[in-house]
Amino acid sequence: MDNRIQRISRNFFLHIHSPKVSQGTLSPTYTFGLGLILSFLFLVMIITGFILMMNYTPSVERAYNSVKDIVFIVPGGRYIRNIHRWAAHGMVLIVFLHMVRTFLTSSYQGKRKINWIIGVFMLIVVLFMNFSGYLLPWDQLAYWAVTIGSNIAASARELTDILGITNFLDIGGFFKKILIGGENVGQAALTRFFMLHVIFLPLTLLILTGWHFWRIRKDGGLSSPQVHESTSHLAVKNDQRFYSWPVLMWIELAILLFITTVLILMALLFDAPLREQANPAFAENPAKSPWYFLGIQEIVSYSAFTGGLLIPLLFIVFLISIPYIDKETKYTGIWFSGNTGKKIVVFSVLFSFIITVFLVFIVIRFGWLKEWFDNVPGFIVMLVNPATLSTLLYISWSVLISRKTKSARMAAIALFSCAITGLIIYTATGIWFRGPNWEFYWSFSHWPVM
Amino acid sequence: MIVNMENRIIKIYRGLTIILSSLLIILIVIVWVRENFFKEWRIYQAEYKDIVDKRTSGDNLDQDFEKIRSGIRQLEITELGRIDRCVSCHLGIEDPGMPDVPLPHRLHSGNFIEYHSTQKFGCTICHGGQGRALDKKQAFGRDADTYWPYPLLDQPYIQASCAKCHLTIFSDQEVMEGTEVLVHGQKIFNREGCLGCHKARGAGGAIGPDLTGQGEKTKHQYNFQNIVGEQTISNWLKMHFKDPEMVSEGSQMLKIDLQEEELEALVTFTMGLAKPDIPFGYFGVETLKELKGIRNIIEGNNMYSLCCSACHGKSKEGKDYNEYETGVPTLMNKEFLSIASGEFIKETVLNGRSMRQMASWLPGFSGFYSNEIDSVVDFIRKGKENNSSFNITNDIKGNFRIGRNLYNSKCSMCHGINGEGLIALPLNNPDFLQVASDRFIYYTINEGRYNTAMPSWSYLSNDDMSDLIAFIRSWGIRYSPSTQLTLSEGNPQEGAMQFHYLCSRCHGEFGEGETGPATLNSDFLRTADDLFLYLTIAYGRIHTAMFGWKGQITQQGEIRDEQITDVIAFMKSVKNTKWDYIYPGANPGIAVEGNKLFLANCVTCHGENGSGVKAPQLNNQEFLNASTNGYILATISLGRNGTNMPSWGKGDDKHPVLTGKERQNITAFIRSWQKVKIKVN
Repeated sequence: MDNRIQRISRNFFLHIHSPKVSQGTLSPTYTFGLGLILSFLFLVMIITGFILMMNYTPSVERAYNSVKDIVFIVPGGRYIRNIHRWAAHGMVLIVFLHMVRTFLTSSYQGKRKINWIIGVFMLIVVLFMNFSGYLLPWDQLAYWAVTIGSNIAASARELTDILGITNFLDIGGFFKKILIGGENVGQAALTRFFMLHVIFLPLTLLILTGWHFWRIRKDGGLSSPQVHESTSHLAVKNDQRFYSWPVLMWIELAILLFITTVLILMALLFDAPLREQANPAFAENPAKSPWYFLGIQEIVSYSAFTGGLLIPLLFIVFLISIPYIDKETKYTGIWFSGNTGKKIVVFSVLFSFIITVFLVFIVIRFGWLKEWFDNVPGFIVMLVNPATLSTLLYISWSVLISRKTKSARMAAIALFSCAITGLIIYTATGIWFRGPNWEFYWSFSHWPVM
Repeated sequence: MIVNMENRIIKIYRGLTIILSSLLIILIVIVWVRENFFKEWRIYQAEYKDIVDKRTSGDNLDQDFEKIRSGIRQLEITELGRIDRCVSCHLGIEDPGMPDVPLPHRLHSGNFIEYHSTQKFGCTICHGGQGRALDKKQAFGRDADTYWPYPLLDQPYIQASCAKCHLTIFSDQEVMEGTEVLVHGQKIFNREGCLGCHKARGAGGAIGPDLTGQGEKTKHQYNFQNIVGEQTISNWLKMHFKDPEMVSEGSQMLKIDLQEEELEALVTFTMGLAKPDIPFGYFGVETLKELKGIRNIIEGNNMYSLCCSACHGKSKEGKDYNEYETGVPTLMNKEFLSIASGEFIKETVLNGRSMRQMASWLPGFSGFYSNEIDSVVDFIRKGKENNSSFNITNDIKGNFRIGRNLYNSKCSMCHGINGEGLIALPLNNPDFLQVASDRFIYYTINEGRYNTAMPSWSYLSNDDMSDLIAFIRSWGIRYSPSTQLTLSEGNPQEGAMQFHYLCSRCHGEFGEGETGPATLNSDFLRTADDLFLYLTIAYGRIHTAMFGWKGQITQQGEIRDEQITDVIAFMKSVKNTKWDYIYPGANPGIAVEGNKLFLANCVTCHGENGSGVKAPQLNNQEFLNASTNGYILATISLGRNGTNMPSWGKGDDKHPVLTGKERQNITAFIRSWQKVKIKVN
């Protein structure tokens, strides 16, 4: 019995994994197992999602009550929902960390280019999976978060308004209508999001995951400093390879159990939020999009078009283009690409931290162009605001580094570190320091009663 | 080497796996225990079992006694879309053997369950709370972090739930046991005149928000920014009633001054206003009818207290212009009632007054029926005193000296100190006095004349009347219609032509009066008999422009008796016609002169351009449309006793006397503000 189960599972395991893995890739401080954690979280989401789907009704009149039923009446429903929620947020967090790890270890080089691009798309899909699921409980939190999100989707309107062409070419309105099926979030949005969340996006993600795994095999497994293809003098030339079964099996099993334990602990201790039923007549103040979009919401508060469309697009374009700009394969598998890289990361983070915090400080303390001058044209505010200024400064810093080190990789590290730091600071501002009417408050306890 | 490394790695992670597996198992056990044991409801169920055990021990009962099953209990009410699990803790709720034990084991109080079976109603439809929950905090739903919009209700607010199915606003509420506070609240609602500004169940004013579903609003739909103390709906409502402007900025609602007990009742009532989406079988018949818009006709006095009393006062006393921003006119003022015709009041009620708090009560807007509007107009006019009656057999033996005092204080300002007529008809005219009977004079004084400034002096007593008539008679000629005349039937169509060609140039195209008095006035025609009319037309009135027509040669030929009776027939035929136009010709004045007088005398209270400062707004289009020139002239002349409007005909120590001509000029000036000079009927 034992033997047969083992043989079947080993067969499947060895179908996915290569027979042997190299030692370097197994080091926990190399990959931190982030990719693995993500796939296990995805599996957890599917299983808990199935159970939730069986008890949920995607109708504006019934959605909220069906979620209440899940929490109170379905046996274990509270825990399934909690696990689903915390795993979802975990996935978003870890997908960013995974991207950072992959970048910093230059694991996008050479043949891994395509896998990196697949990864960028998977990042976007994961964000939308979370966003689409966010609406489903149909409570005040969900409704207004998605309303804000849909208005960010319509941010092209700022540009077309300035150009005066909104009546002819309403790109913003087009995107918004595709997203939520109308001008306001309602039944159309709920049906649409449910379909996206439960069919389209999971299928997309499954296909992309399959492709992602296949490419890992094709690219010769995970990158590692010990893989002989690395030409860096830092690379350890010892290329030990271990049988994936049973070594990798135990590692993966441990990680799977670790995930499950953490999730159940979180589900035990913290309940997934469920506020009052969505009330379109009664807006939340402040209405905040999900935490991972709060960075975007913050920069949208400076300018809708640049914050909602231009800068995110630029960032994604930057990500996709990295493997085509940086051809320095000698750094593959080496964290921070050595000491120089480490120093650049530290300085970039510091630089970015200082100027971003400084710009945010100016906006909060002194206001911006509209408060200083009367009749500032919207065009100017669109082009000159903390978000665009920080972007420009990051790019300049990166160019500076490029000149100094004459290395595209170092420039990429500089720009990437600046961008991530900026993202974190704007997101943190949006999460913790913005209160009613998007005013600045030091903490939640200072918020006025609305 | 490799195998050693492999083994090491395997050992590490295998160890980790074992530790984590154990941790996982422990966690799952913890979850299992947390979900199934030491639950609140289990504790209550155990307590209940103990109680039952104690009560049945010692008897032979416990042998046949079926063990009480442990477990979650719920009532699934599909018609209401609810699942109520309250019975998991409240096991004794239907057990008649449990009236005297502590909660939650006690039997339900009263006989409510008899008429509201738990299988059909569940619990939360009446009590509020979160039915799905199995622990007290979530079930009560009172804490903010439960995010539950319908918290558990205590007395007396729980009576608001009865209102969902049993409340009628427009008819007498049946007082069922346990709904006393609610019914009290309904009475207060009707008494305080809330429907004056608010609609409820289709009827009422449109100034404030519709209250039909007010009780269904959840806590999150109220703004608690300015509320101190309990953040509950009941507290919000209480504070709002006491001072609406403080609670809801910009609100124009008046403060309601009530004792605590009445406040609670009104709050309970307000929380009970609902139009719930539940099957019809749940409602009481009267309530269902009302929700569908079927109701009894409301009487005049009830209409007044339901709709008018909040602003116009419970005894029609109005609101002081110095205390309230715009003030509210009083409806019980003697002078007002003497000149305000039923038409004027009805026009005002139907059209309201724009830019003021007086709403339009047109049946289409207000949801009330036209006969209900009529009945409230009647009710307002009922305030008019009627203190005399004419008995034809009595000799009018009044004292003309007392009559003279009465005349000087009330009549001389328009009729002249010697009855010579200023802006009103001369009363000392011998032709007039000879053909006008006492009855004619009495009824003219008592009823007044619509569309002129002659008020209805019905509050004068019998003695006053006879004194006044005696004084009028004292100017000489006794009534002596010595001519015994037999008048033939006239032809109204011929009479119409005669009137148009001959009479209208002085009496107005519609008989509304120009340089001559209004002769097609319905009040006049009701009191004037044929003989009076014939004698006046045939022989005229000396010292006036009315010459006798008998024997006059006109383009149509000589005027004989037949023509005169034709005209009389025409006049009678239009006795009850309501004319659509008020012509400025009636009581003509000069607006430019009136402007100067207005600026000198009226602006301090009525504002520049009559916009109304500490007195009613005079350039209000609805007011100008509803009122006649006579009404305005009479108001200026008589003033309003008990308000700040002086009598400009009499004057007092603070205000000068204005002559008749001056008063007419002011009237013309006020009339000049009317944008569309038609009165729409």
